[in-house]
Formats: sequence, structure tokens, C-alpha cells
Amino acid sequence: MGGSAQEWQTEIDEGLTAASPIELHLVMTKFGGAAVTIGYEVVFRTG
Amino acid sequence: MNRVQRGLIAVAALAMVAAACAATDSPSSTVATTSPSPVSTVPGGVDVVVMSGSVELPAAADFGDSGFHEPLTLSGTVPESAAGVAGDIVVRLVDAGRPNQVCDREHPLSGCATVDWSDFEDRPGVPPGGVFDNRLSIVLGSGPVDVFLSESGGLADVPDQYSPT
Repeated sequence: MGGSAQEWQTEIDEGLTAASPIELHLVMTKFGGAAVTIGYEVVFRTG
Repeated sequence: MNRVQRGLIAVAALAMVAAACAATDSPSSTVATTSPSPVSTVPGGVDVVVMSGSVELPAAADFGDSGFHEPLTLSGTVPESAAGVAGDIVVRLVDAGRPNQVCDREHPLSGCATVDWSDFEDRPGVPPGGVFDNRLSIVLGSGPVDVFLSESGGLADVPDQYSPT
């Protein structure tokens, strides 16, 4: 990925449970050069 | 506000996260931060940040180094404002420290960071079956659910098929 955000999205019918845990598991590679900072965001969109 | 405008807002928000992390010399970690505050209002609804932050991905020089098929677990807690109603859940990732980085292809040899989808099993860090675990775990009213990031975009009910490139 580059400097423009990549996005994955789906609709959920039931809604999330308040105060429940949420975990994002990823496997990523950066080959060569320097370490990079990956920004992440999980957003819930209503309406 | 259209989809492009929402995307620009998201990129700006992630850039601010990156700038904040750079300023504080954030260590490499898998610690997430959460924010219950709406980040934008869209026609007919609101975007609520459920979890956000940044993580350092090391650069590998060879197979088996840190940064080659690096597993990351990012965790948070669902705020009240994002609970109890139907809607869309969105995962966004960005190379936050390199806002001008352009990738001609999503491949590690492009110089870009990549989400890994599948690889040959005899390489370091590759699980049995060759398909990597790229998954969002959430709790709905009916119980825990996993949705899987797909190489083709979207969040799917099952992981992608084995297809190393």
C-alpha cells in the first residue's frame, strides 16, 4: 500500500456490541529500505 | 459528501495520526488506541472511529527477518456510540509515514508495504495451507464473528483462496 488509504468494507445487520473487544489481525511485509509506519482505522458507518 | 471526499478525510486523519506518532517517537508495537468520537458526518449517517492508531512495520532484508510476513494484532474496545445499530464496518490501512508513496503494484518488491495474502508453505512465517490470517474479529448481538480482508477488496465471510504470486 502507498500513501493513499486502502479500504475494506462490509455491511453488518445486527450492530456491534458495546464495550466488546475488537481485534484486527494482519500479516504484512515490507521488503528492503527502511521501516514504515502503518496507520490503521476501523470505522463504523451508520445510516 | 461523496465517497471521494470521505476518502480524503480518512487520508487526512491517518496522516495526522502518523505525524503525531513521529513526533512522539512511537515504539514498534501492536498497541491500539480507541476513540469514541464521530470523525465525520455523512448524508444520512455518521462515521464513528471504533479503533485507530499506527504500528511500525520493520523492513526485512531477507526471508525470515522481522518485517517479512510480520503478524500484527491490533486491538480495541467498541465504543457505545458504534453499538447496537446496523451499518457498514470499514477497515482502512495507509503507509502513513510516506504520504507521497505510490505503488505500481501490491507486491513487496515494489518497495511498498503489503498485506500478505498467500505464499509458498516452505517460506518462513507461512502457515499450513499457505493462506495468511487477515481478519477482523468483532462481537455482534448473536456472538463473535470473524470477517476476512480480501485481496479483491471488501470483507468476506471466508478467507481468500490460496493463490501465491
